[in-house]
Amino acid sequence: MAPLSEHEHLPVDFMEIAPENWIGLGGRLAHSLRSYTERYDFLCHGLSLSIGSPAPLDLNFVRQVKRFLDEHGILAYSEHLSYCGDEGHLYDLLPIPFTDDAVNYVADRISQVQDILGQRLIIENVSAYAEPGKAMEEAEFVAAVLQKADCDLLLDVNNVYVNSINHGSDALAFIKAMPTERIRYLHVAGHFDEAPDLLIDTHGDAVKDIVWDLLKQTYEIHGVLPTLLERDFNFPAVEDLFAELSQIRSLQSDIENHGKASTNVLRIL
Amino acid sequence: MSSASFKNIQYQLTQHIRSRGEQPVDVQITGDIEPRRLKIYRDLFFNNVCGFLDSTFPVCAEILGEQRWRELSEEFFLKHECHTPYFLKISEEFLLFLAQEYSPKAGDVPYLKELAHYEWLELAVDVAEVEQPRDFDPNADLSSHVPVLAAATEGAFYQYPVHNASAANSALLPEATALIVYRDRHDTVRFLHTNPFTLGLLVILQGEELTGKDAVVALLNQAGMGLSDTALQGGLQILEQWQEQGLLLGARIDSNSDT
Repeated sequence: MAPLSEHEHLPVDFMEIAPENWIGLGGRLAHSLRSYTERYDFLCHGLSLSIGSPAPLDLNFVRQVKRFLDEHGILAYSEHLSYCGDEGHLYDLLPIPFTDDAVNYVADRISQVQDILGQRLIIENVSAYAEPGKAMEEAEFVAAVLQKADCDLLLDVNNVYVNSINHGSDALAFIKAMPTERIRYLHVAGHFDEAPDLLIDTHGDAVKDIVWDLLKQTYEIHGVLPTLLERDFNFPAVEDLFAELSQIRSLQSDIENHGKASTNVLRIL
Repeated sequence: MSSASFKNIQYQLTQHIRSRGEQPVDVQITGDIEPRRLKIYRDLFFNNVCGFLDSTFPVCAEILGEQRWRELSEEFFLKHECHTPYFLKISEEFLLFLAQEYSPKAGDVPYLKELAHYEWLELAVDVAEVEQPRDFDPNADLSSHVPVLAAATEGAFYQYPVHNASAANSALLPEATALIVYRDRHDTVRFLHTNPFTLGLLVILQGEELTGKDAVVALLNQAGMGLSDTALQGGLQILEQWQEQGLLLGARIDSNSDT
C-alpha cells in the first residue's frame, strides 16, 4: 500500500480487497484501509469461503463478511467457485469435481450465502492444474451453477486461458458459453509458464499478449465490462501497473467509449 | 455418481495435499492425475501456509534451524485442523498446534511454546481491533485519577527470558520473565521488560477502574506487603515511568466525581 499512498489520486475506478486480510483488523492498517474505502469504490474478493467444500459452510464468517461490506460501503462480494479444504482449512483453491451432484450442492450453498448477504454472490471461474472427477466440461459446470443458484459471474479471462492450456480446452468457446447478463466484471492477470502444457496462475507477472487478445474478444462478445487487473506478487513500479490499466482502457474504448478499469494491488496487504 | 462420490474425490485431494504426498490419491476415485500436477498443488498449498508461519515466527524458525522448522511446519499442516478463515490468524492456529498436537523432539528448545507466543503477541497487538482511548487527560495526576492504558496492552508471563532468544543466544536458562506489549499513541508496537511483581500492577489496572494510588494499594495488599510511604511512592513512580514510555496515555479526569 505504501507505493500507492504516494499518489494523491489513483487512476482507478474501483479497487478490490480480500476480506480475509482485513476483517477484525485494527491499528495502522485499518486506518490506512479506511482512508481508501472513503475515497474509492471497493469490491471484496474473497478467498476462504470455500463454497464447494465437503464440510459445512462457516455461516459466522459469512455474517462477518456482510458486516464488513456494510461498514465500508463495499459494493459487492465475489468468491471463487472452488474449495479450500475440508473440515480444516488449507488456504488455497482446489477445483470442484464437475458433476451434477456438485452443481446442486454448490448452488444450494450459494443460495444460503445470498440469503445472509441480502445480495447476489459473484462467483469466479478458477484456474486449475487438474480436473479430478470431471463428468462435464467446466463451462457447462459454471453455467449450471450460475443458473441454479441465480448468482452472478466474475469472469477471469486469464483463468480461462490458463485452463485452456492446462486441460486442452477451447478458451474462446468457454467465453462464448458464459451468460452475458450474469457477468458483473472481469479479471485479467499474468501467469507463469511452468511447461508448454502447464501454466500457473501466479498473479506475479505482466498480462501476456494472448490474454490481452482474449480480453478484447471477451469485450466483443459480451460488451465492455468493468475489468480488474490482479497483481499479488513480484510488484513492479506502480507506473507499470498504471500502464497495464491504460491498456485495459484502450481496449475498452476500441469497443465503445465507456467502461471501468482498476487495479487491486492492495490485495495481499 | 452419488452425492458422496464428489466429496470422496475432494477428501482424496485434501488428504494428499495435507500429508505432503505421503498419502497417495486413489486413482479409482479421482481418476488419473499426472504426478507433476499433484505436486503443483502440494507445493502451492504448503508454501502458502509456510509464508504465514515464517513471517510471524522468524525467531522460532531461526532457533530451530531450517530443517527442523520445515518439519514442524509440515507436522502443523498435516495434523492441525485450522478453522479460522483469516490469514493473520493462522499464527493462532499454530499456537493451538503447539499446545495440542506438538510433541517435542530432542534438540527442540524447551521454551519453544513461550517464544512462539511472544512472537505471536507482537502481531496480535499490532492488528488488534481496538482504537486508542480518547477520553483521558495527559496532564492529570495519575495517583488520584484512573490511569488510561494505550490500546491493545497485553502483559505476558514466561518461564524463560524469551525476549532475549536468538540463534546466537538459544541456550536460555529458566528465569521468571514478565513482558508488556502495547501500541503507543502512534499505533507503533512497543515492548517493555518488567518483573512479575510489577506486571501485577498492570493486571490490576486492566481489571478494575481504580485510581493510581488505589491500584498500588491493591497490589501491595495482594502481595501481603505493608502500606509504607516508600512502597506507595515506588508504585506511583512505576506509573509515571509507564506514562513516559507511552504505556499510560494519561488518566481519566472525571473518575472521582463519578463516585
